[in-house]
Amino acid sequence: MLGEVSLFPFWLSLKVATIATLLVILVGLPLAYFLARKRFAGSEIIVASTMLPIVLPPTVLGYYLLVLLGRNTIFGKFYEGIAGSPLVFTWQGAVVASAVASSPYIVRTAMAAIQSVPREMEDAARTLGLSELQIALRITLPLAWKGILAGVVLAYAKAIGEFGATLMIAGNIPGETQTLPIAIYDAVQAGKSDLANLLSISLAVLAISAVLLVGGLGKSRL
Amino acid sequence: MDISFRSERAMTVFFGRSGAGKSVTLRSIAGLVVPDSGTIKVGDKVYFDSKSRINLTPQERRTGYVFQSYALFPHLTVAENLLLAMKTVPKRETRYEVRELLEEVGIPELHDRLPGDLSGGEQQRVALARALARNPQVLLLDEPFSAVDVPSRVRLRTLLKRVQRHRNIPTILVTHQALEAFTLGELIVVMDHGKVEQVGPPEEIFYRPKTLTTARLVGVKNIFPGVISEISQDTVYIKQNGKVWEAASLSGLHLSPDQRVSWCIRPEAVMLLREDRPLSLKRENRLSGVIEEVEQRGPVWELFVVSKEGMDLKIELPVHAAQHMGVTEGKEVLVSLKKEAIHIIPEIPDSGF
Repeated sequence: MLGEVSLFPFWLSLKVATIATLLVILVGLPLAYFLARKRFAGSEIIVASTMLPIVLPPTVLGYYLLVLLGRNTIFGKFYEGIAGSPLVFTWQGAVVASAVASSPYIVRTAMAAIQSVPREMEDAARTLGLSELQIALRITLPLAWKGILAGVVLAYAKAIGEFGATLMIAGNIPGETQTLPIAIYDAVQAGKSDLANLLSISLAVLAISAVLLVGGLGKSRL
Repeated sequence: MDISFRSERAMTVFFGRSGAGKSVTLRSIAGLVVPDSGTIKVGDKVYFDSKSRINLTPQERRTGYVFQSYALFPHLTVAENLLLAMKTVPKRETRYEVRELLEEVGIPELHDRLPGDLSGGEQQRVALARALARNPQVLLLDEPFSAVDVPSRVRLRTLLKRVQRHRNIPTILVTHQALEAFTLGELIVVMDHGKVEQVGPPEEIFYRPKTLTTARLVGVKNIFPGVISEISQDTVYIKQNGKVWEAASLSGLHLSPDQRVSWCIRPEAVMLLREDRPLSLKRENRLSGVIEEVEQRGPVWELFVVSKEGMDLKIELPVHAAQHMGVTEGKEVLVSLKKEAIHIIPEIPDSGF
């Protein structure tokens, strides 16, 4: 039967997805705000390129991340110099893979949510003397938060299920970089169908709850 | 766009059709759009000057702006909407100030309500209070009454006039309604296609429009071509289709004989003559015609009369006068165009409007 099930993949997946989502919020939300409100030469190219992580096959995305962040690259050396350990084939690498793969969900939904706030609201705030930062924090983001939160939940669901890019950049090291989706793959490869079943159901439950949460948000008034 | 005007009046009205450039001009005063070139000054303060590269941000300009949609922040209460604009007021005084402002616009009881729960008129009052909260140098109102029903519109106009006089704050209001421009404006800036057509007090704009565009915008419906035949001390004679019309001579217009002009008369200035009155009574500019159409518009009836010479005349009559004279379609009538009411525009009419 099942024998002893290691809980490590659960905790790792939760940790990786949480950190990755926070990372995307930190970087993606300002980017979304900027792209939603400013038009400049080349802005459309940047907007289009935010879709790349969805458009590219996960393995291709992972491969390019590997090329970009490997131990002999500028980024890889820079990271290793600061952190003391390499990025690739560590759980931190899995964070990067999840963050990049899930970033479109936050950037695109946040952009749409911010664009749906009438420009007149922001103009009114300007004539009332609010600084641009105050306008973002007190007017635009509070009015767009529902859409942004929906994006965050979707991104989290994507991050927790990320497989292809994570496998490419973090590998499959049990007890170190083996996240839940990779553990499922591993279980199937090893013919442990009971384990695969259990892990799959738990991942499915996580994902479905995320969808339900988004639906609930859409209905709530504020 | 090319807009230039200067107002020292308390209440200036931008008047014109939609797309004339009224709102853009208002937005550029507030700093929400940047003009290509020019100067914007409020009082002694230069808001914008392309030559000396001055362009204050909207935050630096201190304007009170009321948007057509009101643009109230839906996630904040009425009081919070006002508080946002009160950064310069010491904390302990803000609560008092908010109450004062809400009293001033007559809605103290709405303090803790959310904008979404308010009627259009109430939202309008909140928007006005919020615009005043920063103690602005100029009040800018973009079609403020277009979204409220007629009774509250009248009340809001009265409120606006009272607030404006009480605070003695220069105000610019944008409207496409001639009546609103006439009743509220002390100075009217008529705009069309991004250009200023005419600037002047309401009586001048409405009764002595300088261009055909202005004349049409302010509701002058009877406009005819003519040629000046003679100019005397107090009368200008205009030839048209073999008939000669008398108009009161107006200083300021440089007319010369044989000049081709337009002449016009407001529909409410056309007089219907009573048949039972002796014809010996001196009436200038008489003509007879047939009532082709009668449109009853509440207190005013509009008649469409075609004269024997083929002139189309629009006449507006108060209900009692129309009923008294038994106005019906098909009836033959005698009409007089009062000399003083005829206005000459030194421009040849074109067909399109």
